[in-house]
Amino acid sequence: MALVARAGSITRSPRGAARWWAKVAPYVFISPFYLLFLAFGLLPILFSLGVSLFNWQGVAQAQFTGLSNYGVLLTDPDFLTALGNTVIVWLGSTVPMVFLALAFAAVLNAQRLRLRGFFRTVYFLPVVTSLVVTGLIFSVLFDPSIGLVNDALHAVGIAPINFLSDPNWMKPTLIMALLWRWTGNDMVIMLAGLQSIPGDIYEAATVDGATGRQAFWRITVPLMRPIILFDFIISTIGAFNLFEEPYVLFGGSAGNIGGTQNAGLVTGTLIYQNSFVFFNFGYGAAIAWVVAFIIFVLSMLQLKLGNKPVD
Amino acid sequence: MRINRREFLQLTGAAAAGVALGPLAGCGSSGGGSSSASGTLTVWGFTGAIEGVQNQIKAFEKKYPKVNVKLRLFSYDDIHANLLSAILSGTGAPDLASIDDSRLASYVEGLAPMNAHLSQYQSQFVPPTISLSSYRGNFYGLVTDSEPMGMLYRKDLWDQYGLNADTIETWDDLAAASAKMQSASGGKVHLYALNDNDTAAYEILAVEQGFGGFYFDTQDRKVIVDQPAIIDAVTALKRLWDAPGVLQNPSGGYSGNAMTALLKKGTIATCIVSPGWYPQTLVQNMPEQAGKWRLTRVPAVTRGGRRAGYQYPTVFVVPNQSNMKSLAWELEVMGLTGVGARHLYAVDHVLPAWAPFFDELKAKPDPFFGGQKVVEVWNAIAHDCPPIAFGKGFLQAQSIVSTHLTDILTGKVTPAVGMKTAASELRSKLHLS
Amino acid sequence: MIGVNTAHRSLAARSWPARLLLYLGLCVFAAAFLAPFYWMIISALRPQSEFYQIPIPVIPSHLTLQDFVLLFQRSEFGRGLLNSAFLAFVSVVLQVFFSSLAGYTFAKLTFRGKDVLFTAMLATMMIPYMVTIIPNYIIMAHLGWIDTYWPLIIPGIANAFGIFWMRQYCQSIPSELLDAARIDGAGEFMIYWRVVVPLIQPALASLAIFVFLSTWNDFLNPLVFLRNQDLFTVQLWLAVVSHEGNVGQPAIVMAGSVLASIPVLLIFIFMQKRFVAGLTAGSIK
Repeated sequence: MALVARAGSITRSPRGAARWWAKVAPYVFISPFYLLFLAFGLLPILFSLGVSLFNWQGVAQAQFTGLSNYGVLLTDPDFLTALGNTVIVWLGSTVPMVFLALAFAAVLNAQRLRLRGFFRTVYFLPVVTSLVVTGLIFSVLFDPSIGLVNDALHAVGIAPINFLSDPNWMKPTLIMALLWRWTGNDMVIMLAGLQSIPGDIYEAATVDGATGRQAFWRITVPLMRPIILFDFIISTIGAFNLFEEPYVLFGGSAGNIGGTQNAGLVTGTLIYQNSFVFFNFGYGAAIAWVVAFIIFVLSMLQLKLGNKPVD
Repeated sequence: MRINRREFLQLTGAAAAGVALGPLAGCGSSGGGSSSASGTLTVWGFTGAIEGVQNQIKAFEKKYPKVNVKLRLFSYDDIHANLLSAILSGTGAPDLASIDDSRLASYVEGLAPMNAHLSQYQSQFVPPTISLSSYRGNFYGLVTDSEPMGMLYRKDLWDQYGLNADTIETWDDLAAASAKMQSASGGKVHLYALNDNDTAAYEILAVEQGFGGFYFDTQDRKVIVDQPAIIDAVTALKRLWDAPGVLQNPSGGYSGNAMTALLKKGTIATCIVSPGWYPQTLVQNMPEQAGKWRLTRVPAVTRGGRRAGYQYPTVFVVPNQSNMKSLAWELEVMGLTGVGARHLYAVDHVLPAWAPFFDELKAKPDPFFGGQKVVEVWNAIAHDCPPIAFGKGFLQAQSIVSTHLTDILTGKVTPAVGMKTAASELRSKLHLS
Repeated sequence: MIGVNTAHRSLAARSWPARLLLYLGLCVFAAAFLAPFYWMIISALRPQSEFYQIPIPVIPSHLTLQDFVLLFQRSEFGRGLLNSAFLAFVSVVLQVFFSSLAGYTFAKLTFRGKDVLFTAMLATMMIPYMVTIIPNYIIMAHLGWIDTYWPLIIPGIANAFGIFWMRQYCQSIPSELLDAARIDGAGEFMIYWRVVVPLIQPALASLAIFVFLSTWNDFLNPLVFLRNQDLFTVQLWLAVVSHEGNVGQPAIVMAGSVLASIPVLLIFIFMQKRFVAGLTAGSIK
């Protein structure tokens, strides 16, 4: 940057150089992303867009098939099932998770709370616990014959439930697993966000006689809007790319990745299955691009809604 | 029943035990590289298949002191994806890799054909294993084990309730026996269990109907799942599913623990879908039932018809990228024949594919099966299998047919409609005719 | 600083039953979040023979480090830990720096084409990553970067998530502060470095946690790009150990999982101390 500035000063007065730099600086500051993206990110993305127009399976030569992958997709029962499941899991997990994370963060932000650091760390533990361990725990908890949850249900006279293979229970179980695993992660986002709220605003509110709850809804939530919006958008992208949890919970075999009657099939596992199990790259890429389009629309909607000025 | 070794390998990482046997004794070498060859030979493999080759590395390095063999273990899923990326990009592939036979067709353009060695090993490997690792006339490698499909049954339970395996010739006979078992045992014992997405059963029926591929023809050019003979087979499967006394969709599915628990309890008297490696899981999990089990051939679709099925072993392949192809082939031969093959058996207890060893086992009575010479039965089944090829779209076809089988078995659609829908879905997704 | 205390005076002011209820609630959640982690540690420390014992004992009868010893005998786990630590450290420094610089720029500076550039950057996050794995590998192969750390470090610097996060956080920075610095004659980079960076410590700390976590836990990229065992990361060694299929291997995997989680935990404990408000508030006064 010094170099750029000096180059400018040859022809301009120091004052002009500063003005010129102020104009150019924003582009310089954001350029690393775009340069690296052009070098490493763009090509793979264009490549996959191209692939979606081909019949390409395995190592064999690909043949151009135009939009036919997309045509097949629109009537593919697997794709429609995966899309429906993903929307349910997305709404079912994102909304409670954002709320819970914000509530946890608000409580764990209080300076007078005893063991604050301990609680924060413990709430973050699921993010750190390896997925293998998480999967084992879930099977121990939810197994129909030896699972602890069913033992408890049995004790109160409820018939055992196949949480991992009953189509009615698979999505709720997946949502529970996601809430358990990722709320701590979102809590970190919220905790950091809370620090951006100037303290004197609360001070003024307290003077005006606002209770803690009123302050939360009237000050914390509105001022945290950029952060909450961020969390929603990231969660949306995450939901449509969801892979690890449904794979571990339902994907016992590669050909049957969605579990019983595909009730646990989501777009992330469907793309994986087509690309890396079936090696049907063209079709996998077509699914990915339709999903990308859906994520884009949903994100832009959220940005529009979330950026509306307060009051 | 959903049983296949692929699933088993994914779930368990294989129940391998024990330390490397005494190695050494380089086996009959095929014209490989000269002993002055040098460099690094990279091998990729997964547990449950690699043990024979792993066992022979020392002997190989002794023979070629300047060659350093590097073995990398992957999970079953990872090896397939990694090998594919390496072949597609043109760099980074190993010299030797183990892959599932059912996926072979996806890689063939990037693999070195081993046709020159075919004549030497054709007779040394139990049929149809050579055909499994060939595609459109090229031969790509040797397999770790052989996996004919048979039927395992509890002779004590069959006897107790007045059933006789010798009288079961067709799947319809078996369905009738199921009703008999139900009334004789008062519903306590099910003759067999079946899942509503049971492609393993479907695949046996396809072989019995004369198809060398389960979903495509042996040249992998045509979808066959809507052929009249296949629709007949699926109709037979539907009757098998509808028979009284069938345990439909046992809780928790059929892979792993749930099935084992039911067999251990004696709730189910027969495994109608059992590949060659499967008895070992019974031996391990229910040693107390030793002597009570027997092996027989699967029933036929039509009286007097073929009674055989086949599943997918692991094949070792040499990528085109390798510049040590003949050395890689030699290591492959060492690992999958002779001492290597015996070691793999000692560790994994899979049914061998190397004929000399397989033949030795034929004469051996198996105490778990009441002294029955089970390998002789496996042998008969294997010899009845037509040449088999899986096709590039094998796994996708399996998945699609599985979904439509559910609709057929649960009565949503007729076999003809279900299989025709499956066929058109298959054709459109795979761009096939 | 004062502000924070006032903000949560309500907590201190609560009656003791309300506080008891609050702590009780916190403990219930804590138990649910802690239990699997605790089980992981216990399984790693218990004798292998008890691994599958059900119900899982809350307090094991006796503990042993045998599985940890076996882990280090069967793999170069120590080397893996060091490699991962190196990668994670480099990634954190580079990604946090470049993300915060760009994020701040998007939030607080005005320039032509900002909205379009920002939307384009967001859009890059939305392509499901799975379909880019193979083309990415092909590019790296052409660069001769297979079996090096470059593919694991360089593309990650373009972190859209990090920039987005920083942009959202930086929106809270009062523009008056930046204008004041500008009037004092500070250059644009100096404003970022001297004024903005101290203000956004909580955001930097949280991004550091996320980058460390994702680099440390990354399995796919090291798996695809690395060949030489000397370069293997901790997750690759964990996979190698878990695919060996030896007797007692599940307990050894547990031991590895415990060791693999400790550094992330330490980073979290260290970084969460920076979630302290008042810097923004303080500087307004």
